[in-house]
Amino acid sequence: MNVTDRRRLLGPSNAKSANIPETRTSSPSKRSEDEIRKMFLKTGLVGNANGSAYLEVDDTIIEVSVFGPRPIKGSFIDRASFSVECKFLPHIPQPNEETFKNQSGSASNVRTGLTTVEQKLSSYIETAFLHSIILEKYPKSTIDVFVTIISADTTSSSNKSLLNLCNWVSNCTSLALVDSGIEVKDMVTSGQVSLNKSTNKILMDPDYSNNYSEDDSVDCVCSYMNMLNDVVVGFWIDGNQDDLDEQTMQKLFENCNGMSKKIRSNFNSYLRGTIE
Amino acid sequence: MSVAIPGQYISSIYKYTEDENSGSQVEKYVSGRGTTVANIKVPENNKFSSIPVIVATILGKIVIRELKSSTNSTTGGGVDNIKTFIVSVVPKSNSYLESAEDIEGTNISINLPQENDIVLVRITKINPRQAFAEILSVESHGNVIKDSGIGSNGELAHQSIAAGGGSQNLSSHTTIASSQSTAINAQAIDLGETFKGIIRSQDVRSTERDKVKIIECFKPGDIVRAVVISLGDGSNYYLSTAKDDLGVVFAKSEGGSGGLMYALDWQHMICESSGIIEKRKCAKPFV
Repeated sequence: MNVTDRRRLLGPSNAKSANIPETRTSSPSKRSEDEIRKMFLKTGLVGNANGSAYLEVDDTIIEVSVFGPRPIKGSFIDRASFSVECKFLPHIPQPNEETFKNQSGSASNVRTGLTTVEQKLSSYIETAFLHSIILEKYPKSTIDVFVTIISADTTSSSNKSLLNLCNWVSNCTSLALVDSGIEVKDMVTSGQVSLNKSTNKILMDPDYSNNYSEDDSVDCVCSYMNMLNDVVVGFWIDGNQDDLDEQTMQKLFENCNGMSKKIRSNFNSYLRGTIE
Repeated sequence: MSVAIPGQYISSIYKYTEDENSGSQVEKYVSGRGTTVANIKVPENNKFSSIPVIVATILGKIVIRELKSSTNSTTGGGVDNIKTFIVSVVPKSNSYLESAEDIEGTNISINLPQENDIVLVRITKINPRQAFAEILSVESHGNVIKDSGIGSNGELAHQSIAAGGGSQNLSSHTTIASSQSTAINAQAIDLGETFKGIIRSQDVRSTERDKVKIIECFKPGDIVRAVVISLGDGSNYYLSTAKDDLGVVFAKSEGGSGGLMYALDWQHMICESSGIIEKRKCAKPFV
């Protein structure tokens, strides 16, 4: 009796399995505490937008398109209306998504509208950039910013990784706005730091995916207009906020500002390169 | 020409120089297109004093030109002469940069029409009281917003693109964070749509304004040179062609199906190939 399995199509008996090299485990990059991760920038990729920017930092990939100034319908307004919509691509998990999932009552897995996380990011960006854009120059129009998070490292269950994402989103938005040619008082750049409360050590641009398990840290993201008297235009703090004193805040602000300035100088040289 | 990045300091408002040959001299700088004046704080004797500085608002190249009309005031103040300079930043997209005489007349990437600007418009529809138009470009400034090269300017250009720039299934206009300082009912319309204008019948010409028949002045599809008389309401700019050099510039006969027409006189245009004569409010036909 023939014992071969006749219901399936089997490969030849002398088949060899493909030699797939072992995937290289990414080693945590050795950076000093005040070093920012390497980033990749590109502006003007989206053809039908008035301005766009693309940014990659490790696993975080963000794309921002700016549309406008576009005409409005309805009654006269003497300045531009500004709106921001921040969306994760549908397959990207969001921090604390499980907690908020059934809030709207729908049991389906489909995201309808903006999730709480997306809303938080959107309103942070909106608040930070509202002060920078010269809206009076564009009456009767709207300026719309669409942020798409193509990839994000949100494995951490806390909101801390969200702060880091927020930092890069705001930086990317800033580039997209410059690319669109919309007049701004100054570019907005942000910095994000983590302060370990037990060791009192500051970590710039913390990588929350790489064995980062600081529960006792206070994290903050802060947006600045560095050339315009270092004005703070956005601020978000998370983590262990027990007994926050003025000294701690001062330290957080100083380091955020330092990181913001570093990013700003990187952006400056990138933008200079695009025009020369 | 050096490059400016948004936020970059370009010059202080006043500069004082002393020269052996020409004596003391004050240079005054005025903020032009692509720049604004910001108060920058500088530490001084343990205090902060703020200095008005001209700051770039867009990415581009710095152009500083002297205003020739500035008066050399020799009277009073001990200052011999004041030179006025205008500081502008022109973006990379500016194609007029080399030839432009007047830097104020060059385009930046976004040129929303303002009152008294001359605009080129395309008539979209007409009724007995007014002609509706879409604004294509602002004269000597360029297109209203930059066209990315895929024809995003014009009413018919992007009818397939949904509100919100084509991301409609991901978009939810009711929940986005939007500026609180502006009217809530400010609602964006399609990307492909341009800023709209209206030419009312009484604004078509300056004589016999009550006898104007819109149908004898404009037809849909005509390219018209007009002046902005008012920013109008939320939807439309108010335009006028009540000047000799304003009116129809390009028109095709038989509602666009015929050939290009040429002006015969102030009120008539002729199609070269078919000989059809149609009525229009022509822009100054005699150059």
